[in-house]
Formats: sequence, C-alpha cells, structure tokens
Amino acid sequence: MRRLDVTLNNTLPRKTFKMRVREPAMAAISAAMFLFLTIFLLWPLGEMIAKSLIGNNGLTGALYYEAITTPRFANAFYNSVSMAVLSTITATLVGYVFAYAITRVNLPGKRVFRAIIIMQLITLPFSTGLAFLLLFGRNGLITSTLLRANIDLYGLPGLWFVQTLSFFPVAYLVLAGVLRSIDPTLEYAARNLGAGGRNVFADVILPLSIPGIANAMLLVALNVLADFGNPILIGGNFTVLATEIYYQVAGVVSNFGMAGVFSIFLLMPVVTLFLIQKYLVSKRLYVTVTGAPTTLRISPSSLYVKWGLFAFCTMISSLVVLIYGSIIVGAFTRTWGYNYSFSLNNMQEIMYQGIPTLINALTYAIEASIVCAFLGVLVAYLVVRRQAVGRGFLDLLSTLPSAIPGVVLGVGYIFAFNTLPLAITGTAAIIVLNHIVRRLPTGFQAGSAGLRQIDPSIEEASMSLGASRMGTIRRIVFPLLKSAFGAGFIYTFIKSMTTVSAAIFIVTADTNLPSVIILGLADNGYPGQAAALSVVVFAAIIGTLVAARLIGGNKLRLFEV
Amino acid sequence: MVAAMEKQAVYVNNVSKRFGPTEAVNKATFVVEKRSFTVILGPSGCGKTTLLRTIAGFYEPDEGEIYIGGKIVNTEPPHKRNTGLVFQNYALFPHMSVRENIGYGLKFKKLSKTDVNERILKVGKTLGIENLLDRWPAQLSGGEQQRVAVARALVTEPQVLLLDEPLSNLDAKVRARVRTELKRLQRDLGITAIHVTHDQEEALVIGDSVVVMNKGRIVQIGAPSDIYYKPRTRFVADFIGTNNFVDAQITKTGATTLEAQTKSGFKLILDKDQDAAVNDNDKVVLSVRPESIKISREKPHATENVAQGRIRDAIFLGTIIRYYIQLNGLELIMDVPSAEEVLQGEVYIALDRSKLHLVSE
Repeated sequence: MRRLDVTLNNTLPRKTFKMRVREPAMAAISAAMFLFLTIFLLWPLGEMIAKSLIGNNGLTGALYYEAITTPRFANAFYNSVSMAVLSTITATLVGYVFAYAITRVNLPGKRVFRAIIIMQLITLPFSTGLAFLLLFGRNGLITSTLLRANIDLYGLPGLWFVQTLSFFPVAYLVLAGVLRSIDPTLEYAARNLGAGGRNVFADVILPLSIPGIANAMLLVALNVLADFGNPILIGGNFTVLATEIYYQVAGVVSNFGMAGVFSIFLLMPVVTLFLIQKYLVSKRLYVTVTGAPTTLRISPSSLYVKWGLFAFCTMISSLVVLIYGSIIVGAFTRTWGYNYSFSLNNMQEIMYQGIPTLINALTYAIEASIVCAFLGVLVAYLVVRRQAVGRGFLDLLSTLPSAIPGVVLGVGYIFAFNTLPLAITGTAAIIVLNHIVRRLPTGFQAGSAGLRQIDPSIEEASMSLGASRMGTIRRIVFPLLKSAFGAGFIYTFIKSMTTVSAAIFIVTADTNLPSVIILGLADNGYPGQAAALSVVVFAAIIGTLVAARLIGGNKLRLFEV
Repeated sequence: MVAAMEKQAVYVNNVSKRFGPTEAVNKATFVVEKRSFTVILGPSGCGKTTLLRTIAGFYEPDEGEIYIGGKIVNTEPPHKRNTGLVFQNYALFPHMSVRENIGYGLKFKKLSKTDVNERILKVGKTLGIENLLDRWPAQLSGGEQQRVAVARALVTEPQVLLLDEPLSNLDAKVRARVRTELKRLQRDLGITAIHVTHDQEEALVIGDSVVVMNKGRIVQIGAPSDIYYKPRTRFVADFIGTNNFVDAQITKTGATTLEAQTKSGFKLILDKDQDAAVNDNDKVVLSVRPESIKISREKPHATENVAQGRIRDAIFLGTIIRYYIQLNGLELIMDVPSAEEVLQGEVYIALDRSKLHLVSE
C-alpha cells in the first residue's frame, strides 16, 4: 500500500497547481476572460435554448413540433440550406478564379481587382442587396427604366446572384493565401517533367488547393447561412432562417420561443460547419510547406488563359463597380425609378436622423475596437503561449462567435439582458459589448498570427534579464504586436460600423445605428435615402481609416490581401 | 563541505524533468565550479537544452534541486535567478536598438542613468561592439548579433552565464574564431559559464569540464582529454571524434594491467583503469583513437600490441592521412600526419597500451 502511494506521488504531475501559483496574474486574466465570455456569449445562447424548450407549462418540445410541421417554417430551413449550397459553389468558384488570376498569373490591373475585392469586404454587408434593388428591383434602373420589362428577380435567383457577389471575396481571401503558399518550384518541376499548362493546373495546383477550397467553402457557407440583410431586402417571399427569426421577434405578433427554435435550427448547420472548418485548419491540411524558400517568379501562362481570366475578372469587377456606382448615383438622385435628375434631397432627408446615429456608430465602434483588439491580443497570448489554465476551451470560446449568426446572438441578448440580474437592454453598453464579443475572433486571430511570428525565446530573454511575465508582456509583447493590434482594431471598427444583424435587435431610438436605419429605409421603399446614408457611413469609415493611418503611421496594414 | 560549497557556482542535484511520458532529463547531477567553463554536450534531443532551461528557470524540475550560488532556486521564476542566457537564435528584441537591447536587463536593477550608460559602454568595449550601439538588430551580421546577445547577458553581471548553442548559427570559419574568443572572454573576466552544444569539437575546445548527455541521462563528466581518451561508454567514444572498437575477451587481470585477446588471436595488453571491474573471460569492448595507433613498414622493436595488416585505403585529409587497415577480420582506422610518406600494402601496427581503453556498451 505504501509503495503504491509513493509511485502515485511520483507519477502524478502537480504542474497545473504549480503553474497557478507561479503565474497568478495569468490565472487571474484567464479567469476574467472565461467570466466575460460566459456572461456575454454562453449565457445568451443558453437563455435562447431555454426559451425554445420552456413553454407555459414547463419543459416542452411543442414549439419544435410546430416548427417542423408548419410548411412555411420547414420552407425557411430548406431555403436556407439550398441558398447556402448554391451560393457557396458559385462564390467559391468566382473567388478561386480571382485568387488564381491574382496570385499565379501575370495579370494586368491586379491592384484594381484587389481594391474591388476589399471594397466588398469593408462596406455595408447588404450593399449588394441595396444596389440590386436599385438596378433590378421593381423600379430598378435596368429592369424597369431601361428594359421596361416586368420581370421579378426577387427570391431565389436574385438572392443567389447577390450572395455570390457579396461573398466571393471571403473565398478569395482564403484561396489567395493558399495559392500563394504553393511553391512556384513545384510548377517549374512539373513543367520540367513535361507537363503542359493544363496538366500543371490539374495535377499540381488544383490538388494542392483542394483543402483550401474546402476551407473557403465552409467559410462562405457560414456567411451565407448567417446573412440577414440581403435576404430581407430581396428575398421577397423566399424566407430563410435568419429572416424568419427576425419576423418572429419583430413581426406583428412576436413569438420569442419560436425565434429560439429557429435560432437552434440555424445554429445546428452553422456550428457543424464551424467545427469542421476549425478541424481542417487545426490539421494544417491546407498549407503546403516545402523546403528552402524560393525566389522564382510565377511561370508564364498561355495567352488564352491569361486573357480569359482577365475578361472574367473584369466582368465581375464591373458588376461590383456598378453596385457602388448605383449607390452613389442613387444617393444624389431625386426619385429613383422616375426622375433621375441630380438632387441633394436624399441627403437632406437623412441628415436629421443620420448624424446622431452616425455619432453613435462611431462611438460604439471605436470603443469596441480598442477593447476588442486589446482582448484579442491578450487571449492570443494566453492561448498561443500556453498560459491559460483551460487553454483549449478558451481557444474554442474565443473563436466561437465567428460561427454564431448575428441574428442569433442578437435574439440571445434580448433574452438574457432584458431582465435582472443584468438588465442592460437599451443601453449603449449592450451594443458595445455585442460588438466586442462578435469581433473577438478577429482580434484573437490577428493577435495569434502576430504572436506566432515572435520567437518565444525573445520573451524568455526578457525574463532571464529580470523582467517579470507581466513586465515582459508590457515591454516586449505589446510593442511587437502593434501591427496585429492595429489590424484587429481596424477590422473590428469596420465590421462594427456596418453590422446590422445583431444590432437590429438591441438598438433603441437613442442608441440607433445607421446600418439599421439604412436597412429599414431600403426595405420600406426609400432606396434613395438608404443609398444616401450608405454613402455617408462609407465616407465616415474611410475618414476614420485615413485618420488612423495618419496617427498610427504605416504600421497599420489592413489591406494585405 | 562548506569550502566545497563556496566553490560551487551551480549545483544540479538529481534533477529530472518530464514532459508527459517522455523523460527529457533523468536524474542529472553535476557541479559547476566558479569561474569554470562547463559544456553540456550531446546529440539533439538528449535533454541538454531542457537541462539548461531548467537551470535558467523556464522549467521547474519534477525532481531534484538546483542551487545557484549555494541557494536553492527550484521555485524562483527566471527573472529572479540572476542568470544570463544567450539564445541559439540570439533573441534580440527587434524593436529596440543595440543599446536598448543591452540596457534592457539594467532597467530592473535600479541604477542611475550614468551607471547604465557606463556599463553598456564597458561591455560594448569588451566585446568590440561599442560602435554598433546605435544600430538595429536587423542591421547586424550573425556574428555581431551574437556579440550583442552575449553583451546583453553579461551586462547584468549574472552569477552564471548560460549559452544555448550560441555558435550553431554561425558559419564554420566564424564559429571557430568566436569559440576561441568566448573562451578567452570567460577566462579574462572570470565568469562562470555553462554552454550547451552538440558540436564535440566545440566542447573539447572551450570546456574546462564536459558533461556528456544521452537520452536524458548524464553519461560522463570529465576534462576534455579524459572524455576524449578515456570514454567510459561506447556512446561517448563514438559520439566524440572517430574511434576504433575491438571486441575481445579478457585473458588475464593483473594489478595494473589487463590482457585480452580478439577472436582472431590478436593479443592485447592495456593499462587497467582504477574503476574498471572486470574478471577473466569477460567479453569486453576496447576502444582506441586513430591517432594512437602507430604504423611502420618494418617490424617495430616493441613486442606488445603489435600485429601485421594490410592497407585497404589511404585517404588524404589535409593535415593527416587516414588509413583503413585490415588485420585478420578486423578493420582499424588510423591517422598519421600527412607530412609522412603514404604507405601501401603490408604494414605493421602497434597500439600504445596507455591509449587502449575499455568501454562499456
């Protein structure tokens, strides 16, 4: 018996406890992060599940039964899935063509194409939908004024088109990274062994990019499923889960329980995709690591390929230009659809409501971005440098918000924070907190990408020279992560300025945001005013970015795509 | 005992460090005397870097104690240990100038500004980098970065300087020069240093004492010449330099000598090590360095440890000629200065009994 005790003592590591004792500050920070994420992420989701299960007579599955058996509700699920499948395929395809053209072909006008993709990423998420209304809607410039056709593009065909244009940049980002990482020597090797351009693509490039394609498809699907603005504008009778959740809460008769049920239905595919995507990334299946670095240039491709790609990219880019062109023109047009003369009417109309909400948006976005970028770097440190006690769980919790559709989190916030103990609905704080939680994954990602580039020995050097852990973080880690901090800040700022899906549930008259107002205007037949306010928001974003660049200098590099 | 303690700068007592199931360091014990240069030598993955980091305080030992300056430091965090660590990749802070890098550790010493500047300048002069102080790490060559890293570690006057393969990123010529400089610096300043390397030549050149490690265990500790000529195990003999191994059986154990015979009947006589416990008829392995074998065309006057063989290959290696000699199913490698004429064909070889050495498997 005694011998057993001895062996047990020797084999059982006491490391976790010791770690806690040795690094109390780290333990305190991880505990604070867990507490924060539990309150502002897990609790709202938990409340939502509870609402969907608890009826007037206690625990019940009645709402689920109702949802499954009502055709309209079942349709929403089917529509969501089919829309996601169709848009994912086309958006990934377009994204791949752009990525291939930009990274592996010597294409003229690369910078322009890249700028156009960035534009799609940093403007209002439903700009494409708004432009679609202006161009192809009932009073659309092309359908009604130019063609005088009485065709209805609302519903599936229009939405498919809009989602493809909206989300191909998401696929592009992933695929450009993957394609760029494929060592050009492989291409040279294949050519040296006798492969022609087509074989090089089919035998080398495509197989190596398949894990990247899978990753891109998952991300696009996540985005399409979660998207709320575009379906509400041009879905028409074609409702998807995200819009159905909104109607259940904001409709004539609100049914919170049913909103909870739909949220669960939406969460199921989304969380599944998220976990698959995370697994794929964790396996590092999508990186091709080869030996020595290479300075070889991209090998030339045939003229047919080159100009074919150029034509395709030009066509898609023209559509994007058309989108923003129509929004800008729409902002300064008297009455879209009837009278296209120049006018400042729309601008005047929106000023009264627009300016205060714009100030709200800027205040909340800046506050959220500072906190979010800071927390992101901190969590990244805890996770990447293995300092947190529940490291894997903290990692999961900090990336999870990227998988939670804004609509779902918005509804969850109503459920959780309408009542005591934490009745903060209607305050500005709830909006800022929501921004922070939703963009934490971005700050976290920026932080961990930056940290992985810093050799741990640099921190160890600091500690062996007499700096404590906290001192090292302050003097070495944070200064070196300035650009990661900047990237986290800027991205959070842009997304918080343009977000609508969660915000629409938690804003009040006093804390309203321009994005919510724009969506309302567009949906209620004032596309001109919606366009005008969009232009104002976009100008505010650009203005802030320019200011940030002037303050932060060249270290703020966001547009490295 | 007290006197002995005072001479110790670092005392590692029975230290083990595990990572999950792998035993990175297994019951390591050794003493580093003040003002000495100790080298921990071993192949990659042998636990030498883990051991060094445990001394620096980045890992806490699972077992055993570490004393620095006579004080137990097991639970002291790295920043309170007063050790100076030089990293393999130098780990210079990229956002600080050379001056700021060197001065970083002084921030925590509460010194006056003039003191700080004086000490930076002094250490800069010692290492010959005083004209680089206002440069950035990215603007320095590998050798210069290395000097800055050493300066940064030395400026706080640590009780022990820890060097984690600091020469491995330099090219061969620079490395040879720097290791001599490092040795000189350590001797001139009277520093205690522990140096980790997998380069046996480096270990022999700079170490006052060499600690050889393999698979987490310390396999031999000794002066470079002991490690070289009297390797205790086949691993040490094989890892350091080139060696010949001869399987033999003990035929006679004398008071100061041993006699042995190979399968082919080659009779050998060798000096007996104090601590070698062998009996008659034991099967043993003998090792002998290539340069400890003598070669001649004519039969030598000496009678012991002489055999006739055939030269299979002769390779010119610059300063030496290396012969591969075949004798009765045994192949021996031997080196002679290349100034001598190159022999061919049948030759006699003679082994010095004091250089013939028993190793355990």
